[in-house]
Amino acid sequence: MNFGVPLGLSSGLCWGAADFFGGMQSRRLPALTVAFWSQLAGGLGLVAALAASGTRPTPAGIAWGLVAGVGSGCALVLFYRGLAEGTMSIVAPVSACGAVVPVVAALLTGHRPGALAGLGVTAAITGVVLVSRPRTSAQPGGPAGAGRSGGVLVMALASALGFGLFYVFVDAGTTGSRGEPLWVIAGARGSSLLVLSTIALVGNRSALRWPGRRIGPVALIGIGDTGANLLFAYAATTGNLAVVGVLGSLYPVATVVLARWLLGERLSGGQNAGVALALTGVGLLAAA
Amino acid sequence: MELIWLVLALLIVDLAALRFAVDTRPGFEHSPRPSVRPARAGARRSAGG
Repeated sequence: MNFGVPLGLSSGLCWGAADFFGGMQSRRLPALTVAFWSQLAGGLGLVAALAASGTRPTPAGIAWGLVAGVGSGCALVLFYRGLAEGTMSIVAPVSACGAVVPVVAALLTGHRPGALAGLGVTAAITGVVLVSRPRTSAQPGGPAGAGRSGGVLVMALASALGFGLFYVFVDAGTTGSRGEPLWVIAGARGSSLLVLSTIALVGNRSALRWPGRRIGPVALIGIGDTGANLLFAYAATTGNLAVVGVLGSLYPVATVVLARWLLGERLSGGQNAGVALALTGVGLLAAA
Repeated sequence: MELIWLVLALLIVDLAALRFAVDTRPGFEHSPRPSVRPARAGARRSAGG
């Protein structure tokens, strides 16, 4: 039996749920605290997975992973802060549009993306423009700061850029059997923790304080995120990569559904169309 | 050449993180709330002379 489809779907669900609860925790704790401790907890899970896999590290793969982690560490804290400050149903799909970055990187290196990728980029950008249009009435479910959509949109777009760069560098680390994917991810996790610590040192050291009784939910977010990575990696080896990629890329759908269900978030007609277009674009890019 | 663009993009993300992430207040603390209720403020002023 082919487990690719259920595993791919599970990875998308795990990513989306981890993002939702990451945003929820960032409404109670500093986003930097949530990002750091969840990444650390997920890192411990990754160490266990590495020990179980018995694969050997490759210096080139780890080096690319270290560069990738600089992007993902910054992206994660921006993403959590955006989810905490803004409307999750908007921030999650916009951030997922980081899938556009590898297409742009391919263009820069002289590669010509296919029609599907071009269509995906167009749909994603149109979706972002539509969801960015301000809504006049207050949005239920969002925090009181949700009205300051300009800053939130910048955070969502910057996190999209960071996640997109992460894809580019991880791809560089794993292409041509240069690096075992798990070790590339481990390198990325190490440098993202370093970057988050540096941001705290530059800004406010108290951001890395122990989250106290919230350590349980915060750790679960990181473990859920790492679990999703492992599910996706396993799905990709057992199933059709194109199908698994699309299923995994639909993770913002889980965040949007949870935000509607648990927070009662509602969007305008145009914004709903934008979310649908952005998600379609992400799916098309994953399939390209 | 393309590496320069990728590094520049990475720098933009870093700067954005430094701009927004060093703010350690949790999201909910950004809600505008009246710090002191008018009646209480008056009472404090009276008490303070």
